[in-house]
Amino acid sequence: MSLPRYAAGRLLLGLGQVAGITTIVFVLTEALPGDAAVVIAGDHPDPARIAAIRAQLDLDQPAWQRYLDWLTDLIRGDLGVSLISQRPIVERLADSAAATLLLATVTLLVLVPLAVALGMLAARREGGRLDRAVSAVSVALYAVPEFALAILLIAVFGVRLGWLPPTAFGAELLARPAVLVLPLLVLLARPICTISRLTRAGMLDALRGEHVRHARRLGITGSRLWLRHALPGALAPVVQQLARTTDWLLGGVIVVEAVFVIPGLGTALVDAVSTRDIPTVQALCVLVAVTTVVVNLAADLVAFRLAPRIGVVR
Amino acid sequence: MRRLRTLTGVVLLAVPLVLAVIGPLLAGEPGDRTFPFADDGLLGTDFVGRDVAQQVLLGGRSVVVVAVSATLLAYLLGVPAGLLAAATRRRWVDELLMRPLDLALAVPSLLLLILLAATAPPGPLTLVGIVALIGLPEITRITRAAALPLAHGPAMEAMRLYRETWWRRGPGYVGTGIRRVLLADAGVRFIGAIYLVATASFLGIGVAPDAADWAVMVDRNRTGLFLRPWSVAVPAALIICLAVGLNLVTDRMLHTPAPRCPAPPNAPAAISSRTPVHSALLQVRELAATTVERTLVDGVSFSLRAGEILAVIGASGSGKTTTARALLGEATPGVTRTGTITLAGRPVTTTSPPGPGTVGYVPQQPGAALHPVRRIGAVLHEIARHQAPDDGRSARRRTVAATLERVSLPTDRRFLRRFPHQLSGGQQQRLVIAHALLAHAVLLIADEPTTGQDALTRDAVARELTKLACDGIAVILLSHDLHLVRTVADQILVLHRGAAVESGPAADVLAVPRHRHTRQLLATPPARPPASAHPDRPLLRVTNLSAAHRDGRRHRDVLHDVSLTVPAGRCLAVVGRSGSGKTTLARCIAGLHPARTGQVFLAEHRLAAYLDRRRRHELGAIQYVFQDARASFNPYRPVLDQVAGPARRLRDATPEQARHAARHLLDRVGLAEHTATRQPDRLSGGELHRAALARALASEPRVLICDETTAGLDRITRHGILTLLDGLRRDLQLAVVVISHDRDVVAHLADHIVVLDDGTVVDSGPADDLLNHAHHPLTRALLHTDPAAATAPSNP
Repeated sequence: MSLPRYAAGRLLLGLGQVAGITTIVFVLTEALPGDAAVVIAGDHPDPARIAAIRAQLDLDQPAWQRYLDWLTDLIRGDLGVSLISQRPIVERLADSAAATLLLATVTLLVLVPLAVALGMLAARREGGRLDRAVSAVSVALYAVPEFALAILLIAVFGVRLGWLPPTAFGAELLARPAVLVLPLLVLLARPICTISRLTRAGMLDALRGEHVRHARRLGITGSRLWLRHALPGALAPVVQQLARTTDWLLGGVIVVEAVFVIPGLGTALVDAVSTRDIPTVQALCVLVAVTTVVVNLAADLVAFRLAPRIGVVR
Repeated sequence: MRRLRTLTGVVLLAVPLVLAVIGPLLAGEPGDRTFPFADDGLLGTDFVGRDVAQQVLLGGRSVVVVAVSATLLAYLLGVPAGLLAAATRRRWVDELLMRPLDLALAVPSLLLLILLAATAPPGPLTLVGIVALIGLPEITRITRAAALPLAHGPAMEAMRLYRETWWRRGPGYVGTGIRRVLLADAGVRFIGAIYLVATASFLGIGVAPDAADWAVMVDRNRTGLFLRPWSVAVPAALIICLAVGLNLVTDRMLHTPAPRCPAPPNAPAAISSRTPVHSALLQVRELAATTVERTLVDGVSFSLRAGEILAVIGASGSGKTTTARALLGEATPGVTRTGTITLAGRPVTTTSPPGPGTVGYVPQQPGAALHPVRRIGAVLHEIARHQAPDDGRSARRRTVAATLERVSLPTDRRFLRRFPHQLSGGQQQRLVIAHALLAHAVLLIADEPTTGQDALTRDAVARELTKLACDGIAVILLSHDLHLVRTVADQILVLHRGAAVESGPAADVLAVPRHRHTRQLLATPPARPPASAHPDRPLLRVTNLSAAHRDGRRHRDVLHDVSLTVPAGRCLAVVGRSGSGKTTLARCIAGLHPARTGQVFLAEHRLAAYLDRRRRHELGAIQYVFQDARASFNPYRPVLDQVAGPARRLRDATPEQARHAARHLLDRVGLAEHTATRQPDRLSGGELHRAALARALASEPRVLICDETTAGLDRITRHGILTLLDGLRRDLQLAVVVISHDRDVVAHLADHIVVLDDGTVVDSGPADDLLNHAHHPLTRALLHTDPAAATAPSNP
């Protein structure tokens, strides 16, 4: 199967996924307990006022009607107005997305070269001292929940030693890059383990493979053998894992944002859920879902090029 | 190192686990609350003035209990769902189960966690449910992926052919097969659950805000981080210990220690003060290779001049591949090597392999030697540049084109932009040879270049090798294909259990083999007795059969309107090139593949298209011997039990009677009882072929279908099986259908031949006619020993 055909099939599947996820999001948010009208009415919960708010929010319409309205608005790019702040949701999301995007970009820029290089170094001598050290650390580090690691890092570097700011509270992220160091370390901890281990396993497999031996017999050695002949085959699973990591980073790393007080998408989601701001929750979920689908689409296309024979549309 | 790691893991895991289990017993009654973050007690007080030490003792249980129950719940739901999706033959059931799970996997788990938690009433039960629900899709997918090849593989089909009980097929075979995968995965899932539970508690989901829980403590006491760091650090450290320890311990379980190979010995130092002038290009003296247990190659010597073809022949396991590896200077772990190899005046050892590019190697699967991800043109240019770094781009392009022409491959841009998997097997083989030519190889080693190829491809390979030799390249051919050896070899070396039992010019060895083993290898199959002349009624009749394969969503027709008959006691051979639909035809007859149209009759009684709808005596009457005998046995049960299966299930024999009958059959096919009571992995390929035959015979069939039953076996083993099959046909009056592309097999067994091309019968007739003077060009190409000489029908 050729790449364009695969891409077309994969794109259709992605559109289907987005449609499915929007439906799930709508159903789940419908089921959220509590009544937004009551929340908004706040200190004056008299029935007349609640009814007025209901009418204003179209909450008195049947669910399917609201679903259709919501979908048509969505297609037009209109995400609605926040129930709490009465501001357009697009503005709120743009603010949050900037912080998340910054954090994700920086993390990826550090992560990819570092993790792939570590994996290749570990594969250089299988069972060597470096290999064993890298694998022991990555096995251990992988299991640590981010909040626990974050708290420990804050306790040591932020509080005890005082080298780095413990949180990013109120800081302009780009103006004070120091506030990003601790969040970055926490965000790197888990992905670096998985990606370096996958790279190592892929490299070892490729180096044992007949085609790399064949290239070596033909006289191709050194970095050329490693980078051009062994690495491409080893990267296919790495790319898939990288997609999941990117996805996780862009979906708002809720815990890290909460601990370090970074106003990103994760914080926005937690706030919106706790205040029953249903339109915002829906918009956020759709945003995250679309990101997920797009990232996975890109990863699948790269993986298709890296492993052309597995081209089967699932 | 590894033990140290596990030990560390156990210690790290023990501390939080012990605290979680016995902590609540030691905690005692809660004391009075004092001031928040005060100095009281061992670790001070928390944000509402409770004793932190006591909270630590109480707070582990919820994390562990919730994570354990959530993991168990996820497995309880996920494994059956995955098994159902794998086992079902109805596509929509699979889709219905897997698509929503795919969708759930596409949503980040924390997002799902928050949404679900917001809709459900808070409490530990909710948390268990949510964490289980998040783990569920992955478990289902892993179960399905592990069970899918088992549920539709040859072993399962073999069991369905004798209607094995559900218990033995499901839990007995698939269950055992996926057990290891699931156990290895369980640790990772549990860690995932701990991670989610702790994170959820930290975010205040599913737990009371002031609950005694390590994760909640970390969250709530954060405000006092500057005042009382311990109230946060201790619970955080405990959670880290739990997760890290668990991961270290389960990681240990994932890697069962591999058998230790002895350290590769130093290759004998090449002592050559003077380089003797050899007329021969390659000189091998007293080459020997041993492992700890046995001798692989025992004192082999030979020499080879440029432009000569040496054929190394011998049964499987006779040391052919080990010799080739030695010539390549490649170390095999655990193998000690002695003797000297000299190539073009230079010694070859594992420490000093032959100069880059001087020895080319064409593996049995040539595709494996080609880079799967890069276009073939890019790799060819890279090799050319490596050989002549100073040449310009156009000079390189000319070199590549000239080389491709030498191996009869196209040279146009479109071809060069292809990937290896877009080439045919023959093209891949020639491409590997082209690589070797570009690198200026003086010696080429070809490992079984014709195994599994039809006659047309085999002729092309023979031409290719001869051409290389004419160009002055020495060729070593490892093969048990005697047709090829006869056609191309100048020299022959016969290996038997690692020793060179005979060597010399090809003509001499082939004409007057001296050693008994050589004679066995070269012997032509004994002529079969002439078939009885009386006219027979057809036992098996197939009419107008059509069948299709599902390829993604599309249907691809593989059989069109095929009709054939086989009388009792006769053998029908179905021949054709690879992909002509031979195997599908056989599977349709056996009921393993549903035919689209057309019918199968057994003694004028119509059979259902699907195996499961056939009656028991109908199942027993038609049995199928799979191409891959090893894959058709359940690896977890002794062979004897499996051979006894058909009698037990299809003929109502008691287990004792069935075992007795099985022993009798195994004896008949020449397998000793102590061999048959072992698990299949302890038997050799030839032994398993015999066992598979015995199993097919156990239901006392009237029709036996053999799919490439002897492909990949060496000649001696093959003779044994062919003679056995022929004897069984005569003694039991079996109707035999043989699928093969091997002329010897067809000539030995068949009374009647049907030639398939692209799913259509293009030729059919009595075996004698088609083997010796066929009219159809394809038949001639496939079955005549020398297609050129047989263009005109010879006079009888």
